[in-house]
Amino acid sequence: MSERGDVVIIGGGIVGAACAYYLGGADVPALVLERDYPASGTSRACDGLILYSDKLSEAELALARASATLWADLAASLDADLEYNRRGTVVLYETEEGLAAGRRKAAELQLAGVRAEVLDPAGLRALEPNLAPDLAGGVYYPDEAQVDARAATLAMLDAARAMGAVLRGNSEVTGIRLDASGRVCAVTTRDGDVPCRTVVCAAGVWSNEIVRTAGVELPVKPRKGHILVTARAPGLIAHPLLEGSYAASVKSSAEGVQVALVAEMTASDTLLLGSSREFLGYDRTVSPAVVQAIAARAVRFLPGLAQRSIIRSYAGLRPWSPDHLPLVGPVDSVPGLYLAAGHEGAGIGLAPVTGQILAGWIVRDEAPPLAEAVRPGRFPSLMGER
Amino acid sequence: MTWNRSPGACPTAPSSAAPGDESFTIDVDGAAVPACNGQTVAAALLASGRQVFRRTATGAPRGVFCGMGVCFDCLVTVNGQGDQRACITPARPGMRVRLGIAERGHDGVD
Amino acid sequence: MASTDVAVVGAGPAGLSAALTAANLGLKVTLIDELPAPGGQYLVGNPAIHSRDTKQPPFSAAERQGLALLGSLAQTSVETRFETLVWHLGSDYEPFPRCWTLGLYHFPPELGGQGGIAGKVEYLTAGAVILASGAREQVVPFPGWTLPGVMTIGAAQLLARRHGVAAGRRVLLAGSGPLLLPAAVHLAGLGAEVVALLEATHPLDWLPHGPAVWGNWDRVAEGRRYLAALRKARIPYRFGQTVVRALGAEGLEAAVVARLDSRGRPLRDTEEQISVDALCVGFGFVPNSELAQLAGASFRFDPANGGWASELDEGLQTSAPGLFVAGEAGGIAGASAAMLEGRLAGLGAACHLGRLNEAERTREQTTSAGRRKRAKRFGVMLNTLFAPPPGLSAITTQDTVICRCEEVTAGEVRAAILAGGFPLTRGAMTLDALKTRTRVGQGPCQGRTCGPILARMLAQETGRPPTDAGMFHVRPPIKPVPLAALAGGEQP
Repeated sequence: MSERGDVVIIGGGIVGAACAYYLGGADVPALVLERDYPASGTSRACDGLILYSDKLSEAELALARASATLWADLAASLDADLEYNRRGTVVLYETEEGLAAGRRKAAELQLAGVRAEVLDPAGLRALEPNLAPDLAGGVYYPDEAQVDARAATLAMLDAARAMGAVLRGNSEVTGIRLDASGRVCAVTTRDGDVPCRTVVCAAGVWSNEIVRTAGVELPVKPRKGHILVTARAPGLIAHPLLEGSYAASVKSSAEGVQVALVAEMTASDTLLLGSSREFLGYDRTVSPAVVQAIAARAVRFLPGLAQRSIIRSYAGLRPWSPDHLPLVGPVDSVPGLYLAAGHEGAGIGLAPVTGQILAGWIVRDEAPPLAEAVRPGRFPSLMGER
Repeated sequence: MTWNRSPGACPTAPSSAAPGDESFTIDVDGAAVPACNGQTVAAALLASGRQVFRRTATGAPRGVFCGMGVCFDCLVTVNGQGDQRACITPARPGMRVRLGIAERGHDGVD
Repeated sequence: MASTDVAVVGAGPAGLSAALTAANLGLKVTLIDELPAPGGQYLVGNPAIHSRDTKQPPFSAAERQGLALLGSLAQTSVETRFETLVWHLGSDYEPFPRCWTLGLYHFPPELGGQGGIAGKVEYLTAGAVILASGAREQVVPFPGWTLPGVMTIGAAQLLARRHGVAAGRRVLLAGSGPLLLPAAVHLAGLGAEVVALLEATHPLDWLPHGPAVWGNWDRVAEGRRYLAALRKARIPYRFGQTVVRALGAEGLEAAVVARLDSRGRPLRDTEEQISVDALCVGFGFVPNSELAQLAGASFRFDPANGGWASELDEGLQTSAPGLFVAGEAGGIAGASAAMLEGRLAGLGAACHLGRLNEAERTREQTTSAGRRKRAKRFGVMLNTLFAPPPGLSAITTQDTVICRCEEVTAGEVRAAILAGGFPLTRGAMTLDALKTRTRVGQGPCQGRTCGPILARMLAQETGRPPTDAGMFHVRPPIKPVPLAALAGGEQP
């Protein structure tokens, strides 16, 4: 591990930015090659929630908590407004059955040290007066936070650049070259080869094609989501809201589109409304049917939104992985190749811990215990034909 | 400030949607404002001397700019529905219009 | 889901002409417009006002032709959907024929009572779509341009001619292009005091373009009539001058004007303050192309055409089969060209749907294609002649708002361009990239107003060609639609 050499990070989204930032902090200035402009991929099409309540395993939860702490530090220390706040979120349940499941989930999370408060209809109304009056109840998670994904990506990249990292936009990486010994020796771009000994692939759903050139098969699949943006609606909601079935939609691998309400207010008083999940290849066109389905969920929970307008929408591709954990760390079969991809809908939340783990691998060739769960090597199929 | 060329005498638009009363009033923040059949809310507001329709998030006054429904500056609340473009909304008898000029950041929805 | 043979979006001169052409060939046509009545931005002449006002020049040939189209609409089988927004345009691939789906939203007629119930979205399928969505005016921003009382020339024209309302008592018009003339004359006709008409370009620059005038004598005659009316109303028509600042607190109170040097840069020591309560500004037009973008049609940038416009073949079809563009939406060339293009697009749609074969189409076209070429040439000449001189952007100061919706200033935009991380040798910054660093384009107008301005700023700051900036990415709804309309609406 002595010949780290030059480090190239493929991808200028939030994960690439976090890797560049933490490497920069460890005196390793990386070259970030972004195929379009920073935060032009999934990072410009997502909400900015930093959640615990949708995590499906202890390992995921541990990562989420570590990352959430890092986010709080970043918000304080980065020289930019990330629009970070930690008001907590409220999960909404329509039925008693749903609420009971929510209660159980809250109890589990509480055992793991996460603060949660179950709310009856009166409690719900006290926190969120504009909710529909016929809900069974909710759960308040006071420690959940939000950040503006684009602002955060750009802030980390800018901070990394101040520490010596270099960002090149319009620089699409088409593949990874290996030398005779099978170690990374360059990345190929449209402008020619960029020699390097260490490559971090943080290209989200576009990672598959790139690492295939080095003989690696990623189990990452694009999972399309939609977000609607409302006209300004100051004071409509006080916390980000999620409906109870959101966690299930994250977990499900079903075909067909799954819609579950997520509502997040931004610093400019617009609301971001999601969510949808479907496996539709790399298609990023906005589907009117899905727009309508999300609008219907939004109006169901927030009747006051009925007269508000949607002013725009967008769709993005979450990099889904089969066990809902990202792949962060070295690819043992290809010395010099590291992965930082596969975060599904938790890319924003888990970006800082990803960057930190990744930097630890590259700089010290070691990782904390919680990084074990995200080792790329856990997928034996990673090592394809060479 | 603006005025109708012949106040009280309404031109009849060649292709107005609803023939009938030539002139009527609309309620603007409680005041009765004259309007003509075929006129837009923006035209009626300007004719009555009201130039400021709303304020932006920083409190800046806004009114008519493009006049054709693409700039979204002339937003007013009509019959409880917010964010309506006054320049393309036809004035109709009994319409209630609320301007967003009272408070900073007012969003114009009842 | 409702269906039609030809959906025509926009009921201005081009749309009317297209709809009538297609209907006369026996096709089922649906004509859709956001406005409550047909006519678009051009057919705003109100005979009732007009006949009472002897100071106004008579309707031009194009206006008379357009009004005749308007008049005949009711006698046709064209289904009209007014006060209806087309918020989506998509297509389904079928082996043959390709079918278009339009998302519609009808503004509820009475907007309900207490707490109003919005209309619901619906869908319309069509075998062919003709986009006649017109164009919008562009402005070079200056300090104070967001003040109430400052509006586009087209806005003042509309208010004056269709509604009989003058934009102000003391009005200044500034900008470039032929629209300044009729606007000034009509405002004066309403009794407003038109303080001056400031044309940023200079007549001496117009001379080389003389040849394009050939065959367009009606336009020349129209211009001369308005010039005569200007002289009669004693409205000063000044060249090589423009407005550099608008002053006022709650509304416009005064405008500062200045002479321009040969590159169009304002000469600060010629500044003069004029007391006005209305300022009408405009520097040409850009096509409304959002639906064509959404449909995935290919685009071409040509300043002589108004900037970005859909690439069209001889029959005005875009790169997407069955999708046509007619009128200003396909390039700025005026109302005569628009009506001719409406006819050509209508014939094209009929061909696409198998109602006409090529030979029949050529026969039906008669002289339209040739006349359209001549009219287009005239329009291109005007666009070139009256393009805002490059030095004019100096009137935009660091504090000038660029994105009106989100109040992003020129200083913030320039800082974002510099911070972008794009060494000039590597490639361009696009409008979408600017959108990640600032809030430009994120408001309700979705970048319609600031887009062309930002593209010019990018070209200036980076030295790269204007095509590099691209266009803002368009997604549905292309204009705002209430959630209740979406939630309770028809499923596609």
